[in-house]
Amino acid sequence: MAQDTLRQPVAVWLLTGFLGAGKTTTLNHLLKGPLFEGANVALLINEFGSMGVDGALVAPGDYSKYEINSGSIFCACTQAELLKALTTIADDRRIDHLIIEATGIAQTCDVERILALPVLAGAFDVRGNLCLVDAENFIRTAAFMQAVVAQVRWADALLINKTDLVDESQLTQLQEVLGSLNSRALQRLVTQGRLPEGFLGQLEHCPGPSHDADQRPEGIVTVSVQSRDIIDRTAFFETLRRLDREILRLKGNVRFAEGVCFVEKVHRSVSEKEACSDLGGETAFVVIGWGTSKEDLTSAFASCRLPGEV
Amino acid sequence: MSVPEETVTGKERIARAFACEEVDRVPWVPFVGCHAGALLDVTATQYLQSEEHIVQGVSKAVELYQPDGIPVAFDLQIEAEALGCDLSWAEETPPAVCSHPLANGAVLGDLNVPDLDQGRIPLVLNAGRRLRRAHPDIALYGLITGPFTLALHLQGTDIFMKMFDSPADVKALMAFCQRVCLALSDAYIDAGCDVIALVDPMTSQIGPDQFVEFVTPSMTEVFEAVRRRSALSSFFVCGHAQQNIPAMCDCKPDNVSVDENIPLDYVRDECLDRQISFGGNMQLTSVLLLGSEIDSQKNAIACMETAGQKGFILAPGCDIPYATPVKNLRAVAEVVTDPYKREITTTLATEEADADRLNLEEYGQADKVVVDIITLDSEACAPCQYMVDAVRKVAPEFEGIVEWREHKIKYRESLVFMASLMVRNVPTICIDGQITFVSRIPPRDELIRAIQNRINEKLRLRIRQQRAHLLILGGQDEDVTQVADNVDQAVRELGMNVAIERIDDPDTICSYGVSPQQTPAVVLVNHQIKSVKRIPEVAVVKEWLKTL
Repeated sequence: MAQDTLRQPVAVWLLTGFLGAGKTTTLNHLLKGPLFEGANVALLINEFGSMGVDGALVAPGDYSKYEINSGSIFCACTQAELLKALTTIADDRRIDHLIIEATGIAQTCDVERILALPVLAGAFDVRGNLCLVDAENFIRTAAFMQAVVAQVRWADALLINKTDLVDESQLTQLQEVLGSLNSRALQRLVTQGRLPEGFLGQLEHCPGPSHDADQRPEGIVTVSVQSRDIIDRTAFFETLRRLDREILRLKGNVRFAEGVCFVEKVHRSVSEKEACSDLGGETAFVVIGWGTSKEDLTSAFASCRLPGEV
Repeated sequence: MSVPEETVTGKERIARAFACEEVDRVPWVPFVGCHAGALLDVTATQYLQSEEHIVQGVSKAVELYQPDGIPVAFDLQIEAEALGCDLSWAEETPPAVCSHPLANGAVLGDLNVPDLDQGRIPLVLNAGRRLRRAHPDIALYGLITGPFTLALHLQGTDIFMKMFDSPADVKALMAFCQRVCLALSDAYIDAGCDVIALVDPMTSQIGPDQFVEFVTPSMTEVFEAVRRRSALSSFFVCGHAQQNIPAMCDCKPDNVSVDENIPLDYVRDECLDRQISFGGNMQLTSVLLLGSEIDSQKNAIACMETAGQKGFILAPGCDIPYATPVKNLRAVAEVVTDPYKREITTTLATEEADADRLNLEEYGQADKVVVDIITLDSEACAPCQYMVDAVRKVAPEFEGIVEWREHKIKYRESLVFMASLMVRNVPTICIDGQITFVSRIPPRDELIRAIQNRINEKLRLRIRQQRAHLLILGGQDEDVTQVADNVDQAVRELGMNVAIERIDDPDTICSYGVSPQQTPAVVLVNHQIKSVKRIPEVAVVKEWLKTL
């Protein structure tokens, strides 16, 4: 890479978020924003199956587009591709801003690590890390995907999108959960991925969380409960009420004395339906908890079993 | 008792390491995938779609990197392609899956375990058979897409939400992927592969509870099936997967292989506690791709030292990048197979950091030519001994003109000297501080020629650098004037750059050891520039003084 000490580093904006969070829409808004008006902008899009921004949906404009074909999986073995694209961009002296879209499975720390390699020293300056959060689906994805949580933890700003699809109390709780994962990030509620005026200018980039992003968040836990025992209906719903704040989601079959029911809890709403036959005739449900431990959740539901009944 | 290396094949070495038995040295398995395309000067697309290229590329890698084991192919899209996923091809990486049948209207019941003649499956199996015949002593790895990664290829990212919304569907999909893995495992074993490696990087995305619930049943079953066929098994993962290492071990593979995202000492402890072999985790981008040969060697040694001698396979963390310099991988092979190289690099790695380097820019300006031989120790290291002998034998040809000496880097001062001369390999011959023969014992004629060239060069330099000052001592009488005229004429005729000065002060004349009665007298003062704008090291000044 040709180094030029007099040259200003390319300003880098990271855009993360799970599939469906609204990254493409936000990207299109960003490109029309005042910060990028008249500037030379490059887009680095990391395709992984359908996980990345669909390059074809990005509005045509005056920018250079670099796509990484993540042939394997986004891990150490594809960093060479990312590095190659970054080196090309660094060598293109015309570029002022680079927007990097990371796939939903990308760990932000991997991108930051590549940008910090000595071979790219002085070429890039990360100005902001924006993470799109899907208000409707974040809890379900975060509970099962490490990268979703890691992306939130590394973000400078959390753009909570699709807020019109959830009610206000759900939104409040989501904001609480996000705050527990990353207290320093600015939170903004957005619709249609539209950024508030002058928002990018307010960002101050801080690379990385202060603790290991590999660790599973203490805040969100998942417990799978499977049992042949009969569950005490009253005790079960009492547990749901007692742990109303802690249980973000619950879904599955519960074998009560009067029969098997499909129970679902979404935020504070609980509903019962006919049993799901795919789950068999026994108790089999999954709980996503927050601010509690797996052990406490497991023990709370274990105490709902009727003694001596099978 | 360790087994002598020459009696052990790579295949045997791998088998012993997999069994956590003692080995003569750490086995080395470079994960050469599309990088072999670079070795043949073809793109990854051309490489991964040609049986011929795969056979030639892997064979080339075997020749260059001296591996104990090597994969037939490293492409986690082969099964997905055979099951209907569309691929997007690239020049320097394996293809990417760009459509997911189960997210596009297909249902699981529509999918069938692929026949062995579908997609590129026959291509890699044929390549495996041919490589088996061509390299009977090397452990061949048949790489299979792990069930969770294959499930993600087929379902897309919806799979993560389905783990909550419809876990039964995910389990059914995993069971299907398990059947695919079993079919491919059997096929690779039939083709002659020794090790079946299930590569499941997407498991790094989930936590241990989900791993146990969704992945463990399939993985355990496949590893058990491989064991029933008397083949070896390995569980490859890359990415941030530390949280799942214990669960991976509980699937009972023979080996667990990780990349640089997971600390090797952690993997070592978790695996060896369960009598499971482990492998990894050389740094792919920052070291193997971007670093130097020395960086690569140091990284390999660091891995080997962390891992210890038992149950460890040295390997890169994942598929080696296409453009990785061949010299870096060859350098790794050197420290794995050559204990001298390993010792040298280890010594450098541990000592160099605090070695106070000397400024030897002026080294080699003594009258004599100095031949330095940097060795591990000529008494202990055969190549070092032969190199010292070579110099010793030609030295009499240059008696009085050449001085030689051996620097054994087991001594710290020698190590500092070596680092100061920027010497990286042992043994090395430096002539007047210039690295001249590296790890090669020069033939007598070549060594003599190299020394003679330096002598000639030095003469030329000396003539250019010398500046004389000629003093004519004496009063104003005729004899002294005649001397001055003769000197002027001589200097003019030779065209030399000599400053002439007449000195008639009796005290000054005496200061040159000449009495006024002995005049006219001539004193020639030779100035030789030895150092300019630098502080010469004591070692360097000593060399100058020896010439007086």
